[in-house]
Amino acid sequence: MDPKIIRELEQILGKQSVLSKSEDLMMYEYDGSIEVARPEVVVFPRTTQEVVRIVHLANRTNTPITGRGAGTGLSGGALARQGGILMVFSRMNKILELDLENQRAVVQPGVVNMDITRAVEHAGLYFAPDPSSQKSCTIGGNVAENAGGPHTLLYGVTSNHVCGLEVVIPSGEVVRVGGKTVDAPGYDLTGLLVGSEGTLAIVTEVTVKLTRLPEAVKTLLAVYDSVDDATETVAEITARAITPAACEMMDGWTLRAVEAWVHAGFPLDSAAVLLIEVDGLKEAIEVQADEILDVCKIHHAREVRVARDAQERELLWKGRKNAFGAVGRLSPSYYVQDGVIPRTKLPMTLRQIDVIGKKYGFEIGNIFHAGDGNLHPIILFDPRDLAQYERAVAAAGEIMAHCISVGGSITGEHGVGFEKSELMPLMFTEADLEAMRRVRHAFNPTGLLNPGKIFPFGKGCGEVRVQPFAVGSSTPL
Amino acid sequence: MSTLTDAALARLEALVDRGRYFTDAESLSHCAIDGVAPHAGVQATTVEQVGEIVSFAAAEGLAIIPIGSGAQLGIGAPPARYDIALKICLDRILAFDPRDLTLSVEAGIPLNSLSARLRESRQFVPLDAHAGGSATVGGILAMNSSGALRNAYGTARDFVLGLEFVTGEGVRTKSGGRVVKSVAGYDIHKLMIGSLGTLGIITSANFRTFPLPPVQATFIATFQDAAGALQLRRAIAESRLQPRALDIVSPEAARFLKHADLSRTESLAVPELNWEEIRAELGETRAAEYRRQHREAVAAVRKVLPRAEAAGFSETAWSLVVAAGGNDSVVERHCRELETLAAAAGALSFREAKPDDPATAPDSLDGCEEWRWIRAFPDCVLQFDPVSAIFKLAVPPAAFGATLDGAKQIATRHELSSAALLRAPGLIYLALAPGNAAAGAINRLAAAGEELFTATAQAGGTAVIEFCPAELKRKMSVWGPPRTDLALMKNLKKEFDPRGILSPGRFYGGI
Repeated sequence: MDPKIIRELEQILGKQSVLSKSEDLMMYEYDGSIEVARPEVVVFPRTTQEVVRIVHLANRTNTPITGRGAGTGLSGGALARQGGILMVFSRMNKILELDLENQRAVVQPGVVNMDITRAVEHAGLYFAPDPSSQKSCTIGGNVAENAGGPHTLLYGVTSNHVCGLEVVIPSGEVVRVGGKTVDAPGYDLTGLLVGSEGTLAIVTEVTVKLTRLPEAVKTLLAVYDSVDDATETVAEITARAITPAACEMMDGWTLRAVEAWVHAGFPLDSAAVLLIEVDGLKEAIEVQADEILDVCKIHHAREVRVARDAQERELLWKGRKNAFGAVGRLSPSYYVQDGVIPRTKLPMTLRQIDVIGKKYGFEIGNIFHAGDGNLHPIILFDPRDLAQYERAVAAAGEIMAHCISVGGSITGEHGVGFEKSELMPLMFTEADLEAMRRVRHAFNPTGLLNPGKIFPFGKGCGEVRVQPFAVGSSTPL
Repeated sequence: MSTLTDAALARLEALVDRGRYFTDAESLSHCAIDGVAPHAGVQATTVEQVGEIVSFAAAEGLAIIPIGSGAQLGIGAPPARYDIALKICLDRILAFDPRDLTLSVEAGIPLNSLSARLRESRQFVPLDAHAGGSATVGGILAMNSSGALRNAYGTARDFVLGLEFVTGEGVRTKSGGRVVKSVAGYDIHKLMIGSLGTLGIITSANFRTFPLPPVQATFIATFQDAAGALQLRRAIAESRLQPRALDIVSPEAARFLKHADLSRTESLAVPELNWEEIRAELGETRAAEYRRQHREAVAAVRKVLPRAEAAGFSETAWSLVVAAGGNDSVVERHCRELETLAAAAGALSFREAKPDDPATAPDSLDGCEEWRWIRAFPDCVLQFDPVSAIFKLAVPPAAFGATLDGAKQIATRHELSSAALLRAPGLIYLALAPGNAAAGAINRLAAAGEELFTATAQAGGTAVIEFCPAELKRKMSVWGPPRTDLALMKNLKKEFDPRGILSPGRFYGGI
């Protein structure tokens, strides 16, 4: 990078807010995915005006900008794929306004998801989207990826809880879309921007909806001796139109990995467990819980435990939310998928994943948002072994192809990023992709923002494009 | 840009099935928008035809407006150009998997036939429109119409999973998916919902469906003044209760609801209106147009309101109307606690509304007469006074009181009567009625409208005019003043409709 650009950035932000030494940049070449890309400079703006000045500079010098929150994303969305400026929002982390009566909060993008809830729970409110990384991930990242989480089954994803944004578009203009109120005239730009993976605009302020905390919560752990029984339970809960707040599944392999680390009390000899939570009015959840118990019994649950208190509930959720960390202890690397299928197809899909695993010689773990049909198969592999890496990628590709073949999606909540961009043609025609390119062109005509994401490069389809790398090294093999 | 030559008309006719092309004045007048009628109309029975017709129009530079049932054509600005009316006659249920709670339908299906099918599986889609069940899914999505149930379910933007549409270049395109969760690619379907046919023509939509509540009930509390009703709204919002719908009806609105006699054809003569004066003010043609619109509006209402008796809204009090749903004990608890909260807020009365048709009761809110009247609020107002304007003010709920006070002052200043229907998520449907078509009515409405737009913006909200005479639309934008987001929207319009042929001029900022 031209040192003049770095000097100018230092003039805008001060030296302490610009990183350009190679050892500093290395810290920002990863996110939660298996991708790697090193930025040329990392900046930490504090205000919208600073963001505007950086965008003007980037425009003038044709330098790409990639936004980044906490770097917990799972699809390479916050990696500077084509170098340039990585704009990190950790210093734009103020809660600007809490409007409790109208159940709104206005926050800067660097505010941590959980901190919104912490700031308003005294008033009986919370921010509903709860990605597993919610203790560290930021609202800006949640907006970019349209983050989900276990409780989106009942409460919806990030886009259902964001009603307004302040953004800086590539021309450097500051634009407000939506607001605290509903039904802003014109096109739903807020709905479009949430989930646009930082490719359309830089979000500098977010207005979120706050949800009233449920009166009562009941958490059940159903234990099974067969994976089929667990998936059939989920399918029937859906078929009976019971919507729990969350319905998570963990297979035996995964829960043993989790139990060894978290000690949540998952039975080590089971084939699968369902973690099901109902919340709402106490009169409603009693009936719901009884119905769910009934379904679990019909499908041969060995045991259904009900969390006795908040502490036991916390522990069960800790096991679920730290699962990927636990799996990380078992293998040099792992590859998490994010496919979605209709809930009726859960039993056959889990069987199919097992078949694919056997074919490629992997034991594939499954821990996922079963109630949404949002799968997270985990393939453990050693990235130093190229053959193994290639098998892992091939297995992942087959799983994705299966999801699409039953009418599903290649990503339920992690985003396309650069991990799945080459899979987009599995789901979308060239005309569909062209419409998306036109949306990008309307906002980001020169590709200044987060280039190299979402859209496939090649004509070939269905290939997962990931570069293996040696552990402890940033050099792709 | 071109006009429709005979040769072009012949090519258009060849694109559709036999008998699906019309140019007679009578049929075209049914497609008229604010007095502007198209030159030709076609009915598309396949998605391929929609694509071909739009491609044809794009090549010829002809303006095209998609029409579902036509029930909501009055919403939006008058078209800048209007050559072809395109009726979307695609009405199949493409996929309904009750065990997965997902649904895919073609855009032309009327809401009531869809609801009937879903009801068999004890499910529903929480779509709604003032026009009621005859509105098509595509029309509801294009307008992003909503009803009282949005309090619990949000609007279509919250439960549409994906859409298929035809762009302004005639290209068949889709966005989103059929599963309940997907973040693959841009959510273009969110843009399409509420785009009034200016960005693409919706041909099919995928939804998540919802279970019908096993038990449902509606409760009504009355108050001497707005403050009491607003206090109860706040108390409910801060309680644990989870009402499916919560509206507040002002006494003036109740008067409109109560005296609109929508059951007898004779009432269409509407003696209260002085047509002589209207004609004097607006001229022969426009007055005739109002009269026709008014007659149609009344006829549409008759379909959803079979009864002559008006709902039990007090004409002297503010009524807060709440719908609760769930199992027996959930509904009982709502009844119990609502009554307590209402008493604490100083209610004059509290009662449970009677569902008049328990067989269809749980569908949306239709089992209860009060909700049907509330839905028909715009039509009831327009029956009295076709020269009135109905604004939709979006404000934070905490600002309801101040907004009502401000609106009242504006109305009084311009010698207009006002009536309000409030909806819990932060909407006020405000009717401003000149009372008669005396000279200056349109000017008074326009002046009041500008003041309302300014006041709402200052309060951090937005305002649009949902229904008003075409004459008013020629004086002011029904979409209010443009904001900083307009330039981006114009960019999008250019990308999706480069020839500017889709419903030109009907939308926000002249899009």
